Amino acid sequence: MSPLALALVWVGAGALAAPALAGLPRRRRALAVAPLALGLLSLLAISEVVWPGPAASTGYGATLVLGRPGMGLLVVAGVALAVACVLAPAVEGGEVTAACVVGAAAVVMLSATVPAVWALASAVAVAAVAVRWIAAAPGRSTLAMGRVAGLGAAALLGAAIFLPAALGPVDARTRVAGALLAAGVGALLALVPLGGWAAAAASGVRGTDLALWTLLLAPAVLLSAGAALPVLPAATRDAFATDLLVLALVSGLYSGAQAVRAQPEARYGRLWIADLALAAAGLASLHETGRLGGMLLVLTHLIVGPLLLHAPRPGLERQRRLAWFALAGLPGAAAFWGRLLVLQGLAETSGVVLVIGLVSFAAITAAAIRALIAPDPPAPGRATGGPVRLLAWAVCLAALILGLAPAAIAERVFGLSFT
Amino acid sequence: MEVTGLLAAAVAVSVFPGGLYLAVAASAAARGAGARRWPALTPAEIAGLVALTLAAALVPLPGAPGRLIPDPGGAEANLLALLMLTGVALGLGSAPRWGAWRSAAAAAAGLPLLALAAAGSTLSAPTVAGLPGARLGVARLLAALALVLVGPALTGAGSTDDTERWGVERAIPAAGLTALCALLAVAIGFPEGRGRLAGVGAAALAIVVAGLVGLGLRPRVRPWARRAGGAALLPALAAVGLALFGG
Repeated sequence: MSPLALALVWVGAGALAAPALAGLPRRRRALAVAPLALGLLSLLAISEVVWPGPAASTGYGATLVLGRPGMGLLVVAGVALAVACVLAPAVEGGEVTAACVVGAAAVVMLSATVPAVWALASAVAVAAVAVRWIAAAPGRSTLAMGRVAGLGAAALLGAAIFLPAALGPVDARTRVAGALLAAGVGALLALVPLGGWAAAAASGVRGTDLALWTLLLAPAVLLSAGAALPVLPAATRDAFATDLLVLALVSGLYSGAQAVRAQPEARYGRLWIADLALAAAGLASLHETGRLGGMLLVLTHLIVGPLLLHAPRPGLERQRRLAWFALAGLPGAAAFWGRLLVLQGLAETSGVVLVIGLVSFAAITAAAIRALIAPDPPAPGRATGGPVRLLAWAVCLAALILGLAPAAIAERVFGLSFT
Repeated sequence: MEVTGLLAAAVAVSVFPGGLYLAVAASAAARGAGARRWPALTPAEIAGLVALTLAAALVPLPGAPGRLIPDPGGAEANLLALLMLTGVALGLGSAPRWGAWRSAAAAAAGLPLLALAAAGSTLSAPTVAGLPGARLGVARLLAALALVLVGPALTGAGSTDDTERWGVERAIPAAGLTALCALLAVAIGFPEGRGRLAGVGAAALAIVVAGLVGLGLRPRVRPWARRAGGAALLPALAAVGLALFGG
């Protein structure tokens, strides 16, 4: 199956899923089958071991080429979205349609070989998330998401226009292209000063809606930006990496501090933003260890996110605590390895960068440990059913296994060597 | 990880510098503290001791088998893992109350090591312990001095009204933590590359230092040891300044 066909299947499934079950209000949780099936369907897509990335048009024309890491991400993200729907207190149906549209855009983003296609796919994904968020929870934060992230996608499109010219000698345009790329990626990854919308949405948007960004859009942006970096013209790459590194480091510090101070219900969202900033810093360090650490960190959140994105539910207290343990950053826990690799990438960059990374690391760890030792507030409602509790235990088990064998699992998922 | 690396890791955890060796160093610290009996430990304290043993296995003492583990093997001999495991041991196996002196002691223990890591642009514990140059050498010695001073204060012994629980009678976890600080101090401050005999000397010196630092856990000495832990901020900040801004 070609990437284009896969994207069309994602869109088609989204168009069919919600209306098909609209008449069955008690069975809406069954919609979780859609992202699960689509994620697994990605295994059938033709993937390339060597991923050209979205800025490698030479030799590829404008064809879509799905890389092996992208395929792995789509599979895990599809499963994670399905688990998030099952573990959610309620599913409306509209979020699944939006997830399918974002998934289709993510397929194109992860397969694009032309910057303009990548940027347009980002814009479509942002539009789908924004429409869903605004429809589900109209407010300043969701409107800001549409505005800021939309501008980010527009900045990527602007960079795509400048990029062909950047192949020549260093001039003002190469710098502009790099800065636009950094601004676009920074806006989509909610880095400071462009990330206020995500912090507000973390406490104002329901878990299944937030999952569209945390489990699908943001990982796809991070992965595709990582693929774009090595093949960019040197001047653009340096400008992009430097600007992104500064944004990511400042964002890591700020979001880490915010995560420590956050209320329990918003803490996971804040922590995810801080970890995303750390992953972006690893990417921008231009060292392989940093990039791989970021991917491992994203994989950790893809596993625990479906459980922690939602408000606490009766019967899931122990599972949530175990998931927080996986994020606590203690040696042997899943998040430790990703953060460690990112810090090693930062250490290879410079001592000052490492110091800033270490402070962010300390703040993120403190936030996670605070969540680990402080019990969730009593959750209202009925106790969750046995199957849901079992699924939550499976999430915890997966996170613990990832902590014990991070390299082996990440290699299986992304097809890259982590040793 | 290859078989020799696995064997080296097993030896590092169970014999030297973790496991048996840490037990000997902790015994020296406990003897210095005047502890006469070994009471039963709580599950949290046992978990803390496990974390402590793993942390000790990462201490880059001369001759430690952990240093032979091949580089791509994972996080062994990693400073971040060492500090995190020590933090876990502190959280599980020491007094729960954190006063100003104790917090200052914790900062004095950790900051110089991280500053040295930043100066060397590395998180590898052996590389940090062997950073070359006169400036970084002095910074390492100051960091070692800070580690020696903070040991008893870091454990929080005597910082709570519950002296029965966190006093000398419960000195095993405290002695272990104190011993780890002593091992780290010797590892950071001991000069590199002097051969096998120097390695044995460093190992013996670490036990002696652990015994001496353990004196700070004695009830009469504790108030002074707490202040010494806070005062360790001075050499610690000097080490940070030298490491980060001295060049």
